[in-house]
Amino acid sequence: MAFMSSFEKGMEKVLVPIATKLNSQRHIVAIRDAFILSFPITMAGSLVLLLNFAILAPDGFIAKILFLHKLFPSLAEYQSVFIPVINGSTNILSMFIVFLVARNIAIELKADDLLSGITALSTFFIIYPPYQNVDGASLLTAQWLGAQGLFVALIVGLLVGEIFSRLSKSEKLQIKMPASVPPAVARTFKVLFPIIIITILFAIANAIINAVYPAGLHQLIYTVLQTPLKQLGTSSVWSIIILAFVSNLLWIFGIHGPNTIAAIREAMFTEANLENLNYVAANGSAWGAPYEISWAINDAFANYGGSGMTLGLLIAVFIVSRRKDYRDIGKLSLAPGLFNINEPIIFGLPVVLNPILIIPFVLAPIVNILIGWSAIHFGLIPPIAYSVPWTTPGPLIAFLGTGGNWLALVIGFVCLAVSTLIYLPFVMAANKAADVVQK
Amino acid sequence: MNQHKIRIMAGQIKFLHDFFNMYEDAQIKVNVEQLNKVDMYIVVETALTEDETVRYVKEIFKKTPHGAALSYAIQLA
Repeated sequence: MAFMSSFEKGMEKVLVPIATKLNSQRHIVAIRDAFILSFPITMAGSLVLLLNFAILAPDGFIAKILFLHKLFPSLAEYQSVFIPVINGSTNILSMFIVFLVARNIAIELKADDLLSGITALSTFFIIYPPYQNVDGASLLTAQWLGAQGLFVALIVGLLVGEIFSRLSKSEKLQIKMPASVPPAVARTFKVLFPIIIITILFAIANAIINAVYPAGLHQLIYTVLQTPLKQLGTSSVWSIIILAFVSNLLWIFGIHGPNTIAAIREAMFTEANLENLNYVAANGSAWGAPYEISWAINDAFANYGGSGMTLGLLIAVFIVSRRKDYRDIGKLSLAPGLFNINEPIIFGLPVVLNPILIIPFVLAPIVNILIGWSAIHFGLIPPIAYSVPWTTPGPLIAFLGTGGNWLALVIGFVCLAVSTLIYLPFVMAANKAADVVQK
Repeated sequence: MNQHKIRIMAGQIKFLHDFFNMYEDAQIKVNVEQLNKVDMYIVVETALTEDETVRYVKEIFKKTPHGAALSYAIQLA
């Protein structure tokens, strides 16, 4: 106990300041919040695609259950109606991100956030590969608007957000209009010079980079930064295990783990998630999706009940706990736990700062990540390609994330059973410890 | 003026205690009634309703540097 106490104090002194810094550093927060704000768009796109294939495709799991294709033989023809949804979500994600990052920076620096975001979007296209003439038509490649352009979007958003916010505060650069001028007009003139300066700066930078590296800035950033970071995330299951370990360890010490690792997690896995989604949009199936390793594995197999796989803890409490307080907290925590919200049990038992429960809280998700990844790696189930809301009950995330693969659902239940088994002896030990303390 | 008793739960309760102990602004005045290892009880004097008070207490802590870094739950006691 003395060890635990000094460990807690060490965590408090070392980890809390780091987590606080990470969660309040404006560039990290701007990136994190940009992904959070764009999440509903990508999620909506993913869900529409999932429903599209599940209901309208002949081999879709809902279509099979309800015999839809026997009832409506021409149903598959309507799949094309919903395919363009991906063009309005993941395929233009970089445009959302560049706008939102610059906007978030401007909010933090108390500048004009809307015009900061618009300026960043404008700048993104200043450095974009030029129009190409094909058969008399001017065409702009869509290659860098989606997942592959994410890092350029992040960098441009950060730079423009910073430069715009600082320049727009300079009195010398502000054009002040008479009071009779409408506010919207006065607002735009106030930041006109900063926008002109940013536009010129990025046009010159773009010309220089194109002269040195003819493939262009997007290709350069993609090759030098985005690809290595993506490979760091997707080339080995250990990347997920380490991030999950850190996130859950922070959580048990009262630090918001998922928030703290959000920026690095998004940087490492977003492109892989989007590429998988694009694959299912093009092929109608998660089988053969390009990235078997992505953060989606954690959500699909190792986050039932919330961080620490606490749905397994709840079941273990119901199985072996003789203490009324444990069972009462378990009953209170079950409904939110089914939807992966675990505050009631985290603070109720409590799990936080609990020296006995820390081991299964960190261990169970790691074991489940390995189970889920093994099932994908050995071809038992396809990769988790569809994005599914994190509040979806437990094994259903694996089922829906694979496009309705029944074995994925079974493996999800296996993961739940394994996590329950891992928690069982620790719940018994926690019960005994609580009995001793009570006596 | 209303008085609402609120329970704040957190692994790093010290940081929330440091913030809320004797906290006072135009909307609320806080007194810490009891501090435990992973929770504390505060009594809030305010013109706000119970639900508004819980929301307000959450919001003001969320705006602090520790607001997004720590995990905590705030509810009526």
